[in-house]
Amino acid sequence: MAKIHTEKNKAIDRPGGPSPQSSTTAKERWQREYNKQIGSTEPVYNRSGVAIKPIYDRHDWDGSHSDTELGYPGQSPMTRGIYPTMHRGRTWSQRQLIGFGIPADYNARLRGLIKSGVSAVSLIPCNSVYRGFDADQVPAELLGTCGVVLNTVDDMDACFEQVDIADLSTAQNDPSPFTLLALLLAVAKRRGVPWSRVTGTSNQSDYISHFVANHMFFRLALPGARRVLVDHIAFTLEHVPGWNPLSVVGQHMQQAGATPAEAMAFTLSTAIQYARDCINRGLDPEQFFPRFTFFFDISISVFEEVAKFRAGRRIWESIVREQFEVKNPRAGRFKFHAQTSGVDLTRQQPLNNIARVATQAIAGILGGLQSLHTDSYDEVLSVPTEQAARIAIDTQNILREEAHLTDVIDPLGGSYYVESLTNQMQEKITSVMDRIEGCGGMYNAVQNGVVQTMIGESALAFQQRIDSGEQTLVGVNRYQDESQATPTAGLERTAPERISTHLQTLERFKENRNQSTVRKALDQLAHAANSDSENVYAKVVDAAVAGVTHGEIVACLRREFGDGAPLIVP
Amino acid sequence: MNPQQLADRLRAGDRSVLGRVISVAENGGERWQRLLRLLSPADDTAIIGFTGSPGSGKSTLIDALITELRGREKTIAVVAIDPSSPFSGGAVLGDRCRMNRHQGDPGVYIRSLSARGSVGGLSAGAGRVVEVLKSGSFDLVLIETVGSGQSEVDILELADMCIVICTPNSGDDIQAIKSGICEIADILVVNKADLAGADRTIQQLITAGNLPSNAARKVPVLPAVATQGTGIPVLVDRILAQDSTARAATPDRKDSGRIHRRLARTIARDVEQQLLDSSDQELTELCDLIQRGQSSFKNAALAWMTKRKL
Amino acid sequence: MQPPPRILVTKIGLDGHDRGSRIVATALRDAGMEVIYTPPWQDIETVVGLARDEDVDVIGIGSLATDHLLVPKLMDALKDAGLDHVCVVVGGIVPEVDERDLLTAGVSRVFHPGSSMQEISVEVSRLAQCAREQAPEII
Repeated sequence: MAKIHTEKNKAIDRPGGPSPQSSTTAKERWQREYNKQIGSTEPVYNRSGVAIKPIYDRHDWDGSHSDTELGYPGQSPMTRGIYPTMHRGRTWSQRQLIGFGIPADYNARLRGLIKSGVSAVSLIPCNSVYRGFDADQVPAELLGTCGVVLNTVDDMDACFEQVDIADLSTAQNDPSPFTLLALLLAVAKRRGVPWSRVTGTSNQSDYISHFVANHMFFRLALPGARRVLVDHIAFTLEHVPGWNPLSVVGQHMQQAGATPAEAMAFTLSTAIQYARDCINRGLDPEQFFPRFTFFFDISISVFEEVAKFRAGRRIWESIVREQFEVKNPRAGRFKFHAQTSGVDLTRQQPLNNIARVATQAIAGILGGLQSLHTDSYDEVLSVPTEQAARIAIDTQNILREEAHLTDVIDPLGGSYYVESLTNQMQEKITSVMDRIEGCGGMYNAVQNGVVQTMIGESALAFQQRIDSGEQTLVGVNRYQDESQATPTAGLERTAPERISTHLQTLERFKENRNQSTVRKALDQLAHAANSDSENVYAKVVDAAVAGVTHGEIVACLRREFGDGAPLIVP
Repeated sequence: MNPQQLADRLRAGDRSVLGRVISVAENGGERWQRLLRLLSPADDTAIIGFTGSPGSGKSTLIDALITELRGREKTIAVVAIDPSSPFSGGAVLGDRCRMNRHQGDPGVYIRSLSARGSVGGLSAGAGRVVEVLKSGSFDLVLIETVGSGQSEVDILELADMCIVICTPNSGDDIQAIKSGICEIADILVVNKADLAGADRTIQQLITAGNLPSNAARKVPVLPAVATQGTGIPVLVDRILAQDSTARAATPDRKDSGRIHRRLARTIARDVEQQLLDSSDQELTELCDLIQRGQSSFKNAALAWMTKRKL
Repeated sequence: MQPPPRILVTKIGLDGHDRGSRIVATALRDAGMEVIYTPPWQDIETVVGLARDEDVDVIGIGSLATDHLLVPKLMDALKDAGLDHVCVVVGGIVPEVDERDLLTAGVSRVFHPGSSMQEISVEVSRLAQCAREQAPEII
């Protein structure tokens, strides 16, 4: 682990600085004046529980170890960024989540986005898809209200109608067993696009985060989910080399209530678990580590988030280099996508959320993110409207091209406060990681409910800070403006007729496919699930090509591996 | 609904009244006294207690047992007791979370109770609730204690048989063995037996169970992996076999000291409830004396008991 | 002394975000109530069965996506089961149009983001009292 140096026990001054005498006196004078005016010496704590002082100086961080603690961008320990050019070169992928209605609706919105110059898109399926069901297995009222209803290779084809999928980077919210990628590969096959040109990320591949926090995405019992993930990584490394099969998701943990430090710790511990599982499967660390990506939440606690990202980069680089002894310099790059946190947004005076999202985004940008999603201000009112989504995109455009945020790499680097906070966050993060190791790694820790309990306690503590007024929430516990009525969100819901037409399409699809091919594919899938020598994900892809639906694939694996029931610690 | 109709519906296991009747039982008092007259508890309902430290997997084990027992066409009621907050008296009753898949099954009834401040693993109303369930149409009543990790001996008052659940390498469990948990247990289950160290724990428990002090009763030690259903059929065989042996045997086959303790506690508990519910003149006077500082609790109690030749 | 209110905190439909319902469950406990807590995705018939078997006074449904659209069905099912006295509250992201529909369907109260735990527990406790008064006497 990159060594960090705590400055508090060291001799205070070094030659070259101001003389000890005058410095101490000046500081003492300031301290007296400060105490007199503030009237309290109570520390302030950030969300992770780090005590924050009113001022930082070289006693907190003197830069004497900056070569080993910071280095330069793209170099070990990567504290300042993972690429030599960072935002000076390429800023970040502007990735907005889209998914709504039926495939034709998604296609219309996607083509609009591509026309406006977007080259990286996302695909958010309907909650019924998340739960592992086809459209004909759930109450029709709920279809297409939160994402696109997408169950078959035909549906996927319709989503990308008249869109060239070669080299189009798609991020898919696609939990285990990764049926959406399978359907996309089936479409590529149908269109003659080689799999080597299918690029993007399996955004929701982190089943541990689903087991712990985002329960909706948890479909297969833990041992099955563990097996499928490793097979998925093995399959894509071999057949879809432009694909990032793994995104380790700290975002769910933080959304569920983990503090920023806890969320980072859980994410890193999870990534270590997956790396060990890949190694046990015989995969080459030099090859798989560069394909690991991460996904985080950005809260409005600006400096804390910056420090979280900087510390996370440094810890990950040293884990890959020292613990796993990987030589490939690309392997230690802590590539991450980040999303502004919905937890900080308020229903009261909702236009204020535009300011909150901008602030969160600034924190993420200063923290050195590679990809960003900004929330729409109306997310707390309903499913985001198109107009609100537009403002969210323009928020990114403003920050990128008007605000001069990208002129300098790691602009907060060298700040007494930020460097000291980065070190303290690192200590917090590694102490949580040590606790997880003590439980035998992340897989065991989540089975025992240790992580769930920590998250629950942190969530409650945060709520109590809001209820007590200790944590201000504008419009909620301070600065309420009764005259400002909550604007009614424009509700976009798919017309019931369109949903019923879609259900008929699904019925026809199921009738018209070659039934014996479908049966055979499902048999082979079930067989692979019970055989250690086969790659079960290869059979998921075969099934998608054979016309097996999303719901049928998930149902088959639920039978073989057991249904995923998250451990809920009330 | 007149009392007779209520009694009939209860006997028939009518769900639409059972939940409300159990609340009456749980809350005690005058309505309970009225209800008690309508009950006709069956003698052949097996009452099985489950105790063990937090995280030993009691609820998951019971969930697996329900599946197995249903396969053998037994009807089951479960009473799951969760701790209450010492500050507010409230409780989050989450044990049944792990058994919810049986919710739609008409042969299974699950009820969560808060300990409502009781220590000892049960709640004050648990005994009354069991009386109601015995009057329903259940073959077995399974009681899950709070599972505080303390020795929860109260379950002995209620249950015909007590199953203690341990996990491998748990220091708490070894402590519990030392503190005489084998005395409570009719069966010891080592859950999560797929974890490392399970064999050692099983050996330790067998040794503890065979100590000379325990010579009269040999406590079987059974491994299980509740999440996978491993070991569950054997456990059910054992439960059903022990239950019928116990029934066939004369009462003195059982540890007579245990029965004595159980009866004494039951009487004490019932007397306590009656006193709490009553507006006895003499009690009021004694309370006044205490309040005025003219008597201690101990002396007041002595005076009351002496008068009743206790 | 009145026995504590019994509250069922649950989620129906497809969404699984349960941070809010967990916090609410704890807050109600800290206000002295007995809370039966379930994982998300309960069927409507399961919720009705739980309400009946656990004899609850109030059902709290968390809805962060659009699952509240199923709540009118729940209200019907409660009525069919003879549990009209049980009060239902919904908390989460509920657009105003939907809120009107829910209230019309018999929901007692909708809590939006930003509701304080204090506000929620006071109201739930009041509704529990109402439910007890409305419940038919059995003995």
